[in-house]
Order: sequence, then structure tokens, then C-alpha cells
Amino acid sequence: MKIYEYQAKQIFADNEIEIPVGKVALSVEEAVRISAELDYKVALKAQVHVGGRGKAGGIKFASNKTEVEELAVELFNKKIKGEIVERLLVEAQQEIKEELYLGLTLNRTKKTDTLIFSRSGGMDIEEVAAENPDQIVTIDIDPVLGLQGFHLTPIAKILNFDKNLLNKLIPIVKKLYFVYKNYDCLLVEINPLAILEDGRIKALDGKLEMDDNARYRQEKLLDMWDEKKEDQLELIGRQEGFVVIKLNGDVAIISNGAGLAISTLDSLQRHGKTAANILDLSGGATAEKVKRAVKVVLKDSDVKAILFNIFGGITRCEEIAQGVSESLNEVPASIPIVCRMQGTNRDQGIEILKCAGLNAATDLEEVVENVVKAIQGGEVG
Amino acid sequence: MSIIIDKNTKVIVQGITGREGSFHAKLMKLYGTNVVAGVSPGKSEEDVHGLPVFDTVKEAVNKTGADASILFVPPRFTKDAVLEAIDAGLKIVVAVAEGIPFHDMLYCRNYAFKNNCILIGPNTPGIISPNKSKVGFMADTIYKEGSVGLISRSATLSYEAVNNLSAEEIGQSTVIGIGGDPVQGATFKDLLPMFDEDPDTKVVVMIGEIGGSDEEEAAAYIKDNMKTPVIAFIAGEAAPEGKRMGHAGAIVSPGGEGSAEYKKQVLTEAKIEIAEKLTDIPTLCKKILN
Repeated sequence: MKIYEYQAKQIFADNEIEIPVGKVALSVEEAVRISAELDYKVALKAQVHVGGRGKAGGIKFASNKTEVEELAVELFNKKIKGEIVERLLVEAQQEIKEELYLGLTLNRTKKTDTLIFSRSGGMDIEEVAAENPDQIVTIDIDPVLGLQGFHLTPIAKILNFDKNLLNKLIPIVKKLYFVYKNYDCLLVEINPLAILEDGRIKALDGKLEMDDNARYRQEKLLDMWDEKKEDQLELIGRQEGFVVIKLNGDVAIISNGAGLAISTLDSLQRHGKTAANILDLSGGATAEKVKRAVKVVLKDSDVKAILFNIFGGITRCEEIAQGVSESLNEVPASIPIVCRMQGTNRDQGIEILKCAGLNAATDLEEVVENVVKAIQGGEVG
Repeated sequence: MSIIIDKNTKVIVQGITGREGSFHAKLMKLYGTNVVAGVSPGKSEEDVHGLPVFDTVKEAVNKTGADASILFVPPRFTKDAVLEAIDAGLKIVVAVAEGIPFHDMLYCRNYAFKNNCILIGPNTPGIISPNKSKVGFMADTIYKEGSVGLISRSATLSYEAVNNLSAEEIGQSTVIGIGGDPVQGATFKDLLPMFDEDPDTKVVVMIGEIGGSDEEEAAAYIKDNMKTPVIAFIAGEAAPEGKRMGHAGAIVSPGGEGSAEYKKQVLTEAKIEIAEKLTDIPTLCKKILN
């Protein structure tokens, strides 16, 4: 789950990391009003979730009222990499001396936390890594140890052990580590972390992505969540208790496991097709749950056929079959349903489907062939 | 033989008084798993399917000499339960719950390693050594005893593969679900050496998927160290970049990192045979076994 820059900065400020004075504007008028308080010397920053905002022209600087108005109008009418701009962060401009990068994320390979620091802030960290790898320090932190003093020596080294600077910087590193851990972040990033002409250090930008699995204990971040930015089908799925993935094809895949669903998608691709969406029933689904799942995928107007791929473990095939057969009168005749059943109580499941006039395939390849035929209007074997 | 668990492994069930814990404790016992006790704080007066229930893991271990624990505990309590099991000295811990915050799991994994504990999961059906013991909730009827070792990130794909193998009369030594999360306990690389040392495992099947670099790490290990042949399957070649494909860990980064194509390339370079389809797995195993 992503939040906007202004929200990430609010979290930083709550944790005593300094940020520029500023407020969010939802309209041009509001942007002008906020700018007035800042003497119109402001940065106007489009609030979007996509990366590469600066390069896409999403940040503008104004120095008088007319400029604020013009630039605010321009930004509110802009799409940043396809994302519409509904909020502008209006901030006091800063006198920048040097830009640093500071971030924390997971090292999936080593399974540790990783602190990343660079003296070349303000640009894409991947670019710095490619062009000037010696400008970056990457520090793996064993989560059982937590952040200790010694972890920070490489940062001190890259800053030539500049005591004055380190005395200001190290507390910020520790605070950001606290944010990373306590707000269940997958990623938290300050880029740039600016050393200003007056010697203060401020977070001029902020990125924070939260672990979806931690929703239950991050109420504050959940309040910040902009539901409208989620795919609406995925959102409906989540509300109904399913993991739904929206894709750009025309088959709805309903399966009882993520791996099985992904493999079904792979097989569809080998047949030159792709899915409109994927819905994971997860283990032990009841007939009732299956009916709800069908309702969810039918909300997607791209769906031309529904494919059930079930391998029963704790999931029982007869429950799924019951759900499918009870859903039939809600599925338009133009949308064929094909099924594959294997595992726990498969024979009972196939019998129920048969009574409902549906055949069941036994393996994955067969059901995929069936759905391709069904969409083309052929006979399903 | 088998790895990690066999008939002698004494197993406790944390969360045994819950619906799932109680149900699967019974099924594990029926399968032949040596389940010795359950743990459920505040419920030590009860007994479940004739098994004693203790308030703490430590008591259960002291009274029964247990070696392993399986947790039927909700995600939000999993970290505490895993750490309790490791702290009580258990060397095999299986966490089945899905949806555990990754910072919790990161801590558990690193703590388990420091204590030489094999942590399996989370988000896994568990581990089974056919005809000997199962510490998990998989539908055990599809498994047959034999000489294929299998490790899978996905539960359902491990069922598919096992079903295909058993249908061709190819049995398994031990089948392990390592789970679909970005941070888990044991990874492919942690488990491969155990299969390599097991004289009865003649071939190892590795079922990977998009996201992360665990398959690449395994490829490097296999190339330099493994004597036992390995066959790999990678799910997710059709997955678009930047979409989390159901499993928390199944995501191809923008730029293609963690893609199925890249993983297959690395595995092929390490001379590991790739099964393009799940149904190819038995054929490839047969080729090695005969």
C-alpha cells in the first residue's frame, strides 16, 4: 500500500524529521491561498503514486501569484504517467547546498533489512547505482540486532567523518529506521534529504510503502490510504475477502491457490490468450464463497468466460461444484463456464457439475483448451 | 529415508484448541505422525483427541521431549508463537498462517537461524515424509513413498506435481512447502543440502515462481555443490511486471527483476533441467530414476 508524499512527510514530521513548511491544496484557489502565506516563493508538487514524477514535469517552482495560478492550473490538468493529479503539495522553497539519499528496504536475497545512503541524492537511486556505485553505501541490518552504532560507520566514512554533519545526520537515520520498523514499511525513502544553506537538514521528498499484511495494526496509515487509486475490481474483491488481480485479457480465472492460478495464466498465454482477472478462493472455500466469487468477477465487463481450476486439498470439490451450479442462473448465457477438478472429493464434484449440465476437465491443459474453444464458440469436449 | 521429519519426530501443535488446530491434530495423528501434545495458554485443563494440552511450549517440551512444533495460530500471534517454540529449544517449527507481516517474519527467520532451528513457512501447507509423518494440513492421500524430494513455494502447485508423480507410480521422500511470502524460514538453498545428504532421495524437484531471487541463489548452490540431480519448474511467465500475483512474494519488479524468464535462464546456465509444464515433471524424473 502506497501513500502520497505529503502523507509520508507527515509521518516524518510526527517522528521529528524536519520537513519544509507546506500544505496540500485540492484546488487552484487553495494553492494560491497557501502560497500567499509563503510569499508565493513555493514549490508546487503533484501528488501521485507513480515514480519518476520530477522528470514527467510534476514539480514546478513559482515566485509570484500569477505564476502560482498558471502552474497550479497546468498541474491539475496534467496526467503524470497516466495518473490524474487531484492534490498539490504547496511548499516553501528551500536554499539547498547538497542533496543526499536515505532509504530503508528489504534485501530479499539476504533476508535482512537494508539501509541505503548516497551522497548523490535528488536523482533516481538506480541510476546512481549504475553510474556511480562508489557513491552509494548499502548496509545490511540483522533485524534481531536492530540498528546499532557500528552499522553507521560506512556512512561516516563516505562523509569523511565530518563530525558537524554526522551529528545532525545520524539522528535522522535512526528516526527513519524507527519509522521503517514501526510503520511496517516495505520501503521508506527520503530523496533528496537536503543539507540547506543554513546548515539544517530536511526531507524534501518522501516515499513510504506499507506491507499489506500489517493493515490490522497500522490504523494511522490505513486512514491515509486513497482507495480510489486502487483498481476497483481488486478493491471489491478485497472487501469480499478475496485476492483479485485485474489483468487485460478476457478470461476470469477462479482458483484455490495463487500458484495454480499463475500456472493457469501461463498456460492461457501459451494458447495466445490472457486473463481478464484472477481470483484466489484460497483454502477451504464453501459453496457460498464460490457464489460470491462469481459475482465479483462478473463485475468485470472484460470477462467473456469463467475458468475454474480447483485442486482440492482442504478445499472440497463438491463444495466448489455446488457453488458453481448455484451460480449458473446469475451468469449470462453469453459467458461460458469451464471447470477442472482434481483432489479431495473430485468425483462428487464432477457429478454435481454434470447434473448442472457442465463437464469437468481433469487436467490444467485440458481446461485451458476448453476455455479457448468456448470463447471461439466451439463445442467444449 | 526422508529429511527433517520421520516416524520418530515428536510433534506438538500450538493452537490445538482452535478449530483448525484440533481438526488437523486429528488428521496428523491418523496419518501416523507422532503427535505428543498441544499448547494453548489457559486451556491446559483440556485434552484434545487424547492429547495433553499445556499452557506453554516449554512445559510441553519438558513433559514430552517434543522435537517439532506446528502452529495453527492466527497471523498476528505467529511471531510470538514461533519465538516461543524456538526459545523452548525446538529445532523444527512449521508456521502455516498466511498474511504475517514481513517484519515479523524477518525477525523470526533470523532468530531461527541463530538457534539452528529449521523454520518452515509461513503461508505453507507444511512438510510431509510419505508413510512416515506429516506436519501440515495437505491432503495426504495423493502422496506415495519414494525417492523424489520436492520443495515448492506454492501449495497448490506442489499438490499438482505430487499428484502427477504418484499417478505415474513415482513416490516422494519428503515434500516441503516453503511458502509464498517474500521472507520465509527455510529457502530452497537451505533445504537442498539436506536432500543431497539423504541416500534415498535420487532427484529433487524445485517448484519456484516469479519474485525475489531464491531460485537464482539455489541455482548457484546446485551448480557448485549438489550431487543429486535437480529439476526446476518456474510459474509466472505470463505475469506482468509490477503486479503482486496472489502470493505476497510473487512479483516481478519493474525492469524485469524476478521474472520467470530470467530465473529459467539462470537455472539453465547452472545445467538444471527445466520442466516447462507441470506435466513434464514425471517424465523428467523417470529419465533420471531409470
